[in-house]
Parts: sequence; C-alpha cells; structure tokens
Amino acid sequence: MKALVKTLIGDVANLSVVAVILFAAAALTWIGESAIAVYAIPLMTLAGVAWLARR
Amino acid sequence: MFQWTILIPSFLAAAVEWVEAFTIVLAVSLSIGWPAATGAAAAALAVLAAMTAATGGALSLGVSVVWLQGVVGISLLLFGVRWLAKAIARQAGLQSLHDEAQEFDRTRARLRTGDWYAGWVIAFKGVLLEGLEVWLIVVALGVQGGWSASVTGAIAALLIVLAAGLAIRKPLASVPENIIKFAVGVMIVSFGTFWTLEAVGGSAVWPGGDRSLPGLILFYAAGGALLAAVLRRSVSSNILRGRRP
Repeated sequence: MKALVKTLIGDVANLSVVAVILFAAAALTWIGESAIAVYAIPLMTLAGVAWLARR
Repeated sequence: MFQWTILIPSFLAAAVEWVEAFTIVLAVSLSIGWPAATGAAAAALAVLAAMTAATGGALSLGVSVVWLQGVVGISLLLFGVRWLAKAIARQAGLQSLHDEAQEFDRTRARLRTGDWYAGWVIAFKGVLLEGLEVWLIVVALGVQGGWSASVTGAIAALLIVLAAGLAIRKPLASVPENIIKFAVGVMIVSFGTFWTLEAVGGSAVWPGGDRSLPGLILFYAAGGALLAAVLRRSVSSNILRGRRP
C-alpha cells in the first residue's frame, strides 16, 4: 500500500511541482486570465519536468 | 423510424471519448501489458454499468464530473511529470550515469512493481472518466426521445474504436522501452493538464474543447524531445570538461 501511494504521489519535489502548477492554474482562472492559463500551464509543467529530470 | 439525428451525434461524440479512453489503455498496456490494461478497462466498464443500472448514473448520486476531472487530472499530473522526467533523464544519459548497475537493476525492479499498480489505476480511472462522459452524452441525447439510437451510437463507436485500436497494437509493441516511457509520460501529462485546467477553469477553458488535446500531446512530445537533446548536450560537454554531469 505504501509503495502504491508513493508511486502515485511521488516525493516532495514531485508534489511541489504539481502544487505550483495547481496554484498557478487556480490563480490565473481566479483573476479571469484563463486564456493565458491554457498556454502558461503547459509551459510551467514542461519547466517542472525539466527540473525533475535535472535533479 | 430509426432516429439517425440522435445516432450520428451520439456515435461521433462517443467515438471521441472512446478514442481518448483507448489511448490511455493502449499507453498503459505498453508498460504493464495488454491483459492487465484491458482488465483495468473492463473493471471500469463494469463499474460504469453497475452504477448506471443501480442508480441511474453517477450524477444522481451527486458526484460531479468536474470533481472527477480534477481528481483524475491531478493524479495523472503527479504520475506523469515524474514518468516524463525519468524518461528524459534516461534519454539524456543523466540517470544511468548516476546509478550503479546493481542498484539500478534493483530500483528498476521495484519501480516496475509500482508502475504496474499505478498503470492499472490510471487505465481504470481514465476509462471510468471517459465512460462517464459517454454516459452523459447518451443520457443527454436519449432523454430527447431516442434512447435506442443514442445507446446504439455509443456502442457502435466503442466497437469501431476497439477494432481500429487493436490493428495498431502490434507495431507499437516493438518500440524500445524508453521511447514507450517517454510516449506514456507525454500522454499522461497531456491528459492531466487538460483535465486539471478544465476542472479548475470550466469546460470552456480550452479553445476548441477536446480538440486541444492533440495540440497538448504535440507540445509535450516536442518539448520533451528538445529537453532531452539539450540535457544530453550539457552532459556531454560536462564530461569533455571533466566535470560531473
């Protein structure tokens, strides 16, 4: 069970990347900038992937 | 008289959802095997059928599709970013350079076990979510007086997508492992991004709706390949300069 949870959620770095993406998505839609979010969120996700790959 | 005006939109709309569900199952099957992935899909379809038969569907229980999209989207992102990062790191030569052979084998065996469960859950949740969308389409069209046409359209779409999908299964099975990991990572992150933002910003957030998905897949595939190339170059130049990558 522990292994399954860790595989699905990952480590702190992984969680942090997804938390930042979620925060940005919520903030951009909250201020009414959904049109920017559809471009910004994929770019941020790719940046997060790059950071995780480099670690 | 058979209602073609119900059947055709039901077929087309359901086909889009079934293709999305099949893409997830196919991607997962390349990692955990076809029997396990189809087992997960069958389990999800069984859950859908039971929910529909017993309660009249998830919405009558008060379960919002938006919430499901959010939960599934976030879990796909949690899994996908890690998987894609790992595939890129391997492609760039970062991971294998850091690992000792024995430790690498042990870790890979451990990850394989973990990946199997995670892959199964992803296939299950993916089919469940897409299936719920098909159910909504069938109900939305069916309540207008064309239940049999609506259901027939959705089932016909499922059978045609399955037949077409099975035809491309074999060529994909011979693709090398890291390319498979990369492709699965790209697809999972794409679906995760799509559903998460749709759950947060509403169904109209993506320009073109579901048609944005191929664009996202292309973006992550091209971006990931570029990242791997840049990282590999940086690793090579660091080795030439005698630095640790």
